[in-house]
Amino acid sequence: MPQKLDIVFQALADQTRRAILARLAQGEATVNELAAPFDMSQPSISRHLKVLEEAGLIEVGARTAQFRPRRLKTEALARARSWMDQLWGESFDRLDAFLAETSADKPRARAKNKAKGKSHRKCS
Amino acid sequence: MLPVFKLKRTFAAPLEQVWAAWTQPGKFEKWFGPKGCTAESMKFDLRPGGMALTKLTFPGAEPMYARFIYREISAPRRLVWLHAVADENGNATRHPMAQAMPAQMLVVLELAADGDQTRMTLTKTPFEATADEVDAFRGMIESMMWGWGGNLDVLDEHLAGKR
Repeated sequence: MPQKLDIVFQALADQTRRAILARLAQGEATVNELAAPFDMSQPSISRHLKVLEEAGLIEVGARTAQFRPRRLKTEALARARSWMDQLWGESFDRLDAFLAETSADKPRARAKNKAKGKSHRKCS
Repeated sequence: MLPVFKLKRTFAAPLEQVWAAWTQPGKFEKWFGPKGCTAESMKFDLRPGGMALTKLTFPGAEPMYARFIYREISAPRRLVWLHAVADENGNATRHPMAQAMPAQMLVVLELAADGDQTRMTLTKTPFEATADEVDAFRGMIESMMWGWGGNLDVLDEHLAGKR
């Protein structure tokens, strides 16, 4: 059974959290580095990080000295994407195939279009 | 400003044929829905205010229903409808996997001939959604635009006015 995506969508609904994710998309970063662009206390940043962690969007990397950098986990985001993809993208792949099938039966429609002299079809 | 999800795609078929695939029962259910599902038209009332209800059956899962309530039908170029996941009676429900998302979306489909191909633009905006639902939708769109390893065909908020 696919997992519910709401926890991901709710985590993404906040602008600060999206900015944190965008930063982590460039590479892992420590809490201090993540907090730097924001006028926000470290506890507030940590709360946002916790939400992202619970949504499975980030994880805590290996401890280096006293720092524990955060890094992005792309699976949760990929699931959210594929939800959108499923709703539309896959339909359109199928529409593509359906149109190819049905136009094979309709050579006249193609011929008519060609006669307009506006065809951009590649030579085959 | 409401967030807008925009998707562009070109089909190797004439405009009328793409329009027919969207608007004719018997054609529509041949392709509509995610991979692996079987679609069946329960109702197909193509007129402003009319409803199309499509049953989507997935192997080993509960069926789902997609509901279109048409708002504008300008053959063969523009189709506007309210899109929702519904129950078997056509009442809008939440998507089982995504309750945080707006229940209804306003979808605008525009088709344009390009030689013997057809360019399609599809936009989705939340309809009568709460602020939280709109934020969830906005977050999803923005995160999809960061562009890591996805294969979503197009996400371009800036193509407005093209054409």
